[in-house]
Amino acid sequence: MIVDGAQYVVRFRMMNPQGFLVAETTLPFFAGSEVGPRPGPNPEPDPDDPVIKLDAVSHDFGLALAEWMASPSTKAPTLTPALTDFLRKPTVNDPAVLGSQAAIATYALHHRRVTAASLPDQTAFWLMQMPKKEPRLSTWLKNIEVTQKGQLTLFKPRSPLTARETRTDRASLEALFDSIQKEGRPTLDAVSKFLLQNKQSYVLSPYTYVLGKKDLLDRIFALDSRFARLYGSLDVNQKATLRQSKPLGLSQLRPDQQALIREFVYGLDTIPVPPRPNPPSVTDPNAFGGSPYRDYRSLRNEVTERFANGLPADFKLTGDFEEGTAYFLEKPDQHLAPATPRDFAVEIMSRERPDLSPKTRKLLPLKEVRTGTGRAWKLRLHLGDYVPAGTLRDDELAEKPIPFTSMDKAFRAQIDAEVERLRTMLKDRKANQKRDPKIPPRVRI
Amino acid sequence: MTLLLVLLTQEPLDRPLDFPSQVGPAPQVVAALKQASGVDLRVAKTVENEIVGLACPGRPLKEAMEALALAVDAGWTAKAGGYELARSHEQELRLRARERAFNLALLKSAFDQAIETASALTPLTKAEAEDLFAAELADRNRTPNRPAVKVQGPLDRFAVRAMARLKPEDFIDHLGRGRVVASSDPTPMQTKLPADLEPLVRLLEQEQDVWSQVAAITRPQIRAIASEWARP
Repeated sequence: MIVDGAQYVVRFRMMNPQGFLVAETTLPFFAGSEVGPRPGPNPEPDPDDPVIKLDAVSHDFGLALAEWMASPSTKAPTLTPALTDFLRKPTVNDPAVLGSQAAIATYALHHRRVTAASLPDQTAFWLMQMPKKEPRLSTWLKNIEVTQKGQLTLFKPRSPLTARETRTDRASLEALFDSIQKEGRPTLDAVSKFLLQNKQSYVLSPYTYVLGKKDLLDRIFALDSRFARLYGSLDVNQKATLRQSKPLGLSQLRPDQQALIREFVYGLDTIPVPPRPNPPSVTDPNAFGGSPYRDYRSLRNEVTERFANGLPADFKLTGDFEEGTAYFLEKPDQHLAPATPRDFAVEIMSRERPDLSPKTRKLLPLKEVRTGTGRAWKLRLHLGDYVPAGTLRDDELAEKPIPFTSMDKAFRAQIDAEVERLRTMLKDRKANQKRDPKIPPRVRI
Repeated sequence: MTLLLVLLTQEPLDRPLDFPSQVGPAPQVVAALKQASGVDLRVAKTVENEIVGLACPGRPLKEAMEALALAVDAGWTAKAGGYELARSHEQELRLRARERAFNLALLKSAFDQAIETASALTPLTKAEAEDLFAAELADRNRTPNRPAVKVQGPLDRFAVRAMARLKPEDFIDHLGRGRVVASSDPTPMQTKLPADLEPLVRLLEQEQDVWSQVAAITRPQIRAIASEWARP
């Protein structure tokens, strides 16, 4: 039985005597959010529900957020300088100010009561739920628990501890935006440090949308956050050790880093069984507790049983660092990653054989190619014979594109070879199709 | 003629205060309150990361201080001629207990659903298994691309019954800890399964036998429908 605290999932598993997973079923929790005690009465519906007089920054933020969320593929909203300045300095201008400061003022003045609040990070999102023209106090109050105590009114999150644990570290958010300002892109260092400090962030998404930094979210989603957090925890000397292709053993890692690795490993759920030179026959009904496995390699172990006594004593972390010229195909709405020779070959073939591409596919520009520096960290956790690995990219684009013909000759040769391979494949396919009409006539590349 | 000068002094905490709404980290808001009231107010480490809001429309300062303390489950203590907002260990424990009770109520609702479902479950018969497969077959015939009707197979039935044997209290302290594994034969990295589920495993085996017999006939029909629809 496994309890996943974040998602409220219970999973029942049966393991056979050899420790192989033989049966599994998952039961999600659907505990209703309306259930549970609410200390103190909620206020009676106010007959004259007052309009919240939003300050200019909150008003503009609400508009920009609603606009961006309604059509996230359009360009970033135009921001006033005041709003831009506000958003870039979350250590000075707390995100909770947005909407909530005006709502608390409206409540206190309307009821002539002292009003105090403990505010969760989600407050920035509440503006989205409010009508654009006349945001009413009742809409804001829907999101928070209200307690009346004598002459005082208190606003509190329903789960104050969860609100505390999920609060975005303001300094790391500001450092992230500062690094974008300085470097012109979200660097791996800044993103990984942010992820290290914030397992989840309710503030990052609305800020990113409104500031038009969608590439920041793309980059974060493209990263394996477990490896990114681990990378973010490494100090300069540890990174230098890994760059020299030397391993870091458990004793060379700080307790907080060891905790990160334990969290990573024991969060892996099930892992493939160790490879065996002569695996038991899958046709033997007694080999795996009578379970019909097609392949020995499909068998899995529960991670808390495979590493039943903690991390293996010979655990080590290794890493490779690669850096070099990279070429990029501009793919709108996609995470920017260096294009492979095959990516370029597919683009070329899409022009040569437009009938083979989906009609909706947009051709990417080939006349000029974006170039830049490709950087990749590959990290590996050596857990005996199981070695999970992750690649963290930190690519940097040059300001100006170069003509396609100016690409590196060796890279061009790889593209040409790939194009030739695709041509041959299509030719063979056509020939086979004549012999066997069952082969689908359309081939997509 | 006698001239009397009567000097009325008011305790600083009783003075009415107009404090417009302020939102931010507790130290920032308390610093603004200090400036507005002239009373030395400070924030202890225990609450310095709280994000708070405060508005005081002409009410005494002490009410504003009390409201702020109640909002963050803390209290004010007189210290070095001023006051410090701090959360004591007892207040922290009370806060945790309240949150635990809230989560426990949420969990209980989920367990109640499992108990209700499990109490209606009798050992699976061949006729029942045929009905469940027939329902899936009918649904696939209607809309084969839609996920099939959830067949309450032996494993689903086992899970519901097992859940009904467990208590929300067995889970509550594991929530928020990520992945926690409980086992009937725990390793040092696991906890002990808080209930004996062995009888349910035996029932699962019996139901699985019934299920397999029906599946042997019905599954090929389902596969046939699926492949029919997959044909170009």
